[in-house]
Amino acid sequence: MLVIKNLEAYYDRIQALKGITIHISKGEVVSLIGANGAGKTTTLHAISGLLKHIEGEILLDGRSIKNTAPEKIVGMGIAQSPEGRHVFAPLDVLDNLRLGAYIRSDRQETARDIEWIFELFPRLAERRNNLAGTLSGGEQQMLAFGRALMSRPKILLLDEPSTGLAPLIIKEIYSVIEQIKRDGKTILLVEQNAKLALKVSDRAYVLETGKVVLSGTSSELVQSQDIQRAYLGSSVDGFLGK
Amino acid sequence: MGLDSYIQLFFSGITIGSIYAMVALGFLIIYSSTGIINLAQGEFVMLGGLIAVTCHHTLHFPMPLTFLVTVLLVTVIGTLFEITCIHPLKNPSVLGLIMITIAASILMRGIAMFIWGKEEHGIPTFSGDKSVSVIGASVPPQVFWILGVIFTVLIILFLISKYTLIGKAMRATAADRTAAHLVGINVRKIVLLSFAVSAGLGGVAGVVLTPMTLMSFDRGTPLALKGFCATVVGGLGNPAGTVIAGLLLGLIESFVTGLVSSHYKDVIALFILIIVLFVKPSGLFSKSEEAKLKKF
Ligand SMILES: Nc1ncnc2c1ncn2[C@@H]1O[C@H](COP(=O)(O)OP(=O)(O)OP(=O)(O)O)[C@@H](O)[C@H]1O
Ligand SMILES: [Mg+2]
Repeated sequence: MLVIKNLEAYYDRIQALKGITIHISKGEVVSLIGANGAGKTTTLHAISGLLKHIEGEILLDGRSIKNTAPEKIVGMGIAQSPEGRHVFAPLDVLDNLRLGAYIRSDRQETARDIEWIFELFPRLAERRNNLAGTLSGGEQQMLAFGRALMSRPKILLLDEPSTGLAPLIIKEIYSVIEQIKRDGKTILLVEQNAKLALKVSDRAYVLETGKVVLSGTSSELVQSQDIQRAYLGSSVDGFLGK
Repeated sequence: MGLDSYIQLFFSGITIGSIYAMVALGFLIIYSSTGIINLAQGEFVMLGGLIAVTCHHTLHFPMPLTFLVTVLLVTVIGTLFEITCIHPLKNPSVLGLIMITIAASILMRGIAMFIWGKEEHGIPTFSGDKSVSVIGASVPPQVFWILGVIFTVLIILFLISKYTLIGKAMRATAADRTAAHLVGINVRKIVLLSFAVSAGLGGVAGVVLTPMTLMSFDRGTPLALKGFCATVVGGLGNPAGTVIAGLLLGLIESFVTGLVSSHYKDVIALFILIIVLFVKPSGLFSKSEEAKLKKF
């Protein structure tokens, strides 16, 4: 469904991605894991059309989407819940969700989808008329997630949906990921927390300084010595030990 | 001084204040969607006035048509300004952009002087010159036109930004450009729209103001200065605060001029700006956490 070949990305002169090749099939949950600065966010930004200078290929259902405007990419069915949430702070929860459906023109369906988001995240329903900027970090994450779902994407890109959140909230968010996975949604999940990501995904790629250094099914990777040492050790203690 | 003098000062203050408010809101709209302080903002008012003069005296359009054509033309000029001067720049610096807007303002002034000359021009008031008596004070009817038109425009703008999808998209883009891209908002279109709206506001101000004060090629710059002061005093992020700051500025200017001396007329705005920058640098109507994120 989504195929990325030899993707390189540059910020001015700095090369952030050095030839990344990944693919995601329909209905799959694939995760992208790696340490700080590995290039995970850059990869998602490249897919969403936010970067000016990229080389290589990005194909959606066989068609190149490289150098396509971000709004067109949303229209083609790729939505992103960005790192750091980026909710529209001065707008209320409802308006944030409505703007998630900006590219759609079916008002009634949109209203129904908003109710569906509220079922997925009951906390958001309670706060529907609150300004997004007044929500807690966890609620903002849910809102960014819900907003991305509102465009009814074929592929959902999630950038660090767990970072900085309390374990209970993380659980809530991951149970929604599980749920939409069961509904057959295709997801590219970025996480620093490898253990969480591997648990929910079918396959994974490990990124290190702009390159894919390891890939495989999540169950293989969980067993892998390298992963154990480099990523799981610390995250088990840090996040999930409790 | 009697009550009637105070009422007169009040009306002249609120009238010029509403013009400042329009200019200030123009600054704010462009700043919110692009981060640019458009110092050519005052020229839109000047162009509005002078184009109206041509529409009315040369083309003999009736006043409503003059109004519509003028506002439309100024809106187009604002949009073209973005397309030709702002958009082509790749990775512009904030300073570079400010220089561009200053250059554009000088250019617009030059062209206006070429077309309309250096003298002042006027158009008739919208409904005669017979003053209206308000609690003993006589107020020219054009004052009510200025206030009526401007407040109608402000209310329409408010309703659009609050309740329509495009209005929400404008606010969303101002709040978070990256996120706007990610939900599929055509940010380029929003930027064009904000230049169009800002210029249109200036155009409206120009048409309603010209019957009162006449208009000439060099009137835009002082208005831009006052409007800019109001924008900063209003906190660069809060439309209601900006409008209130514009109105207050007009009122203070009017009362100081009337009660103290007209010598101070043009320094008052800067004086207030400096005081506000000392006491509350984020502006009177803004939260200081927000202000930290701003480029200026
Ligand atoms: N806007 C930018 N300008 C310049 N360099 C950048 C920019 N954004 C990222 N980089 C650099 O690109 C590299 C990859 O960054 P990226 O944000 O993609 O990493 P990441 O894997 O998402 O990290 P994290 O887990 O911290 O989110 C880093 O070296 C980073 O410093
Ligand atoms: Mg990242």
